[in-house]
Amino acid sequence: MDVFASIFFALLSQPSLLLYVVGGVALGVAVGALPGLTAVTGIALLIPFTFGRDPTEAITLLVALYGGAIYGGSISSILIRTPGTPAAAATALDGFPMSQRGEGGRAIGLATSASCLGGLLGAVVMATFAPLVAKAGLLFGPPEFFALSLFGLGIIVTISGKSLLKGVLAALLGIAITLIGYDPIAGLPRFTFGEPQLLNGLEFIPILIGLYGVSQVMRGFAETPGRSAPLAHIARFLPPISDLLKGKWLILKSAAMGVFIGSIPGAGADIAAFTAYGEAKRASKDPEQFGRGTPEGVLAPEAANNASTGGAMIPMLTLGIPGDAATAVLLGAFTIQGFQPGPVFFSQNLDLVYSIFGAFILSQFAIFLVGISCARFFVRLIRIDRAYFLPVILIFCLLGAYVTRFDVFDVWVALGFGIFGFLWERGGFPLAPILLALILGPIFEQNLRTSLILSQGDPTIFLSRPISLIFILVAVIVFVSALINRRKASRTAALQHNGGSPD
Amino acid sequence: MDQQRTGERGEVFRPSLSYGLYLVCALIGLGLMVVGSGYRTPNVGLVGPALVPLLVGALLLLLSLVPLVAALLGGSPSRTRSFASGAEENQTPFFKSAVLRIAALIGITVFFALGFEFLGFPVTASVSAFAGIVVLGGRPVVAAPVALILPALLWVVFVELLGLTLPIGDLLYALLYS
Repeated sequence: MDVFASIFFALLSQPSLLLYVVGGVALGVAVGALPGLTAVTGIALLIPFTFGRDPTEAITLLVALYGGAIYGGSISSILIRTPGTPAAAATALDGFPMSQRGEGGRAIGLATSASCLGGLLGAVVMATFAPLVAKAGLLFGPPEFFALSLFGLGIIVTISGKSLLKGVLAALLGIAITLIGYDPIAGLPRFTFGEPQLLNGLEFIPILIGLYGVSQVMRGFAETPGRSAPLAHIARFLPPISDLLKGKWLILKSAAMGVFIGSIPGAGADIAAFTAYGEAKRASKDPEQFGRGTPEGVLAPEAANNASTGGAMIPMLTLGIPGDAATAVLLGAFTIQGFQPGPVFFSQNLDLVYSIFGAFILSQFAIFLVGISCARFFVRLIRIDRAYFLPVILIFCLLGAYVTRFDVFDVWVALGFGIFGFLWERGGFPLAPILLALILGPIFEQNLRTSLILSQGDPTIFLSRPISLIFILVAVIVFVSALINRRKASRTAALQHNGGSPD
Repeated sequence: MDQQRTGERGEVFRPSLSYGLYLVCALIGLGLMVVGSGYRTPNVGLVGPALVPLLVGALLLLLSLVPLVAALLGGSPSRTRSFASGAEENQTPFFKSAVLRIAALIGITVFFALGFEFLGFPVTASVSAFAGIVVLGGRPVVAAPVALILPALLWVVFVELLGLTLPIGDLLYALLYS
């Protein structure tokens, strides 16, 4: 309870945070609702606007945007079957059929309520468990941090995309990018080729803006322009209380699953939503109604994806290991503000930590208020012609890249990574492992080498310490089981392709 | 299109984008190994600045070569396809107009980067936004006000509110202050 009292006083001492919460959530919902703009893109584009701001206000704005964007994706999922964010893809399965039946308002209302309740549970779990994890994190040494970074990379590789090989290559490429610049231990410049601009490495924000901003704009430019389909008139967005009462246990169960999945480094809101949807269908008395527009099919993924945001914040704040792609970007934002999240940060910046907790809890209420009161505006927003908003996003991207160091070089970096990201995704390679590796790469290298120096080159140091051993074992088990599963799936597909039947 | 026969049952290996990307990964891996080996320091042995470049480079090279070699040697085409190119590759062909639009986007970005300091943010952003909207089929009547208002708004936010410095450009400076 001490934690919650501290959160309360932290908010009381800075009432202006409420404005940042509401503003961040509103921006987040808008970003999430617009197909093609994800939570990651939204945070990446907003970071430049926080330069020079008070760290608490800046982080509050970004954290609120994160929650808002995860919810906002459901609006376009429900109304036009185009998930605004990958986290809302599962919502489209039942949300869109509801919308087709003329129950779009009810579906949005359910999504809003489930997001708020799920997010609230996630926020409470975060505030309760984060201090405990941070305390445990103080016991971690280089071998544990190395194992944890390997674990995070292992998870993201196994869950992003269908090809394990492509995921591994993406993660390796991400680590390779972080090798540019001064070596973290010996201070030797590497892969700089005499370019002074490369001595401190490539900046995170321009790469991020390139991979998640410019490449998405490029994807939009590649699509054939078309007129958006007319939307049915929606009378009300408040869901019937009976729907929520009927689904209360489902919301709670899905949120619990979401917060757990979110807290696993590497696994994010999209996995949480699909897992909760699958479980809701499995446990339902009427599973055949799923996919035809059942309210449970909206409640489960929406409670889970917003709950996962609180879960994903736990390893990010306490160990400096992002829970998903969006928290990887948030971690970058902390670094820009001069903080290095981890156990030491947590214990030394309690005021900031409690303010973030408070802002995160408030943003869940803001999701409900903004979601219900501004639903009509967001519905109109998703109908804006891409021809007008894509070029605007492009300008935001390029300007954001420039203001990172006030150097046009970073605009070129954003363009280069934009073209690369566009081709990379088109080739079926996932982007998320690159992003996570950009954050985890330096942790991986520094702790690998420090551990080996401590053990005088003996690699068994990673297996002789229990926490490190557990992380490595779990990562290996997850990776090997994913490999076996995909082999099986590939063999089944090959047999079906050849007209045979799998045994 | 160049097509190379690889399968025994007449299936073909099409040089696809994913194979090109595997090749890029292999080359980056090779580069990491070649350049990285130069960072070996005698007093710390392998645990020096060369360790991770060599490790990551070797893994990148080896793993990217697997699908490339498998495809070139033939093997089972269906297995190669499922393992390497993956069902996820976007095989939708680009329309010529899409290629032109992407080329225009790259052109707009290059213009932005080249003109940013000389022409200044307001002019480059206006021209870029206007060109982008028109390329995507937006009406010039709407594009013009958007292209004028957007840079002005961003200028107010970044320069006036956040206190950051953006280049105004020689041209606009001369017009405003001479």
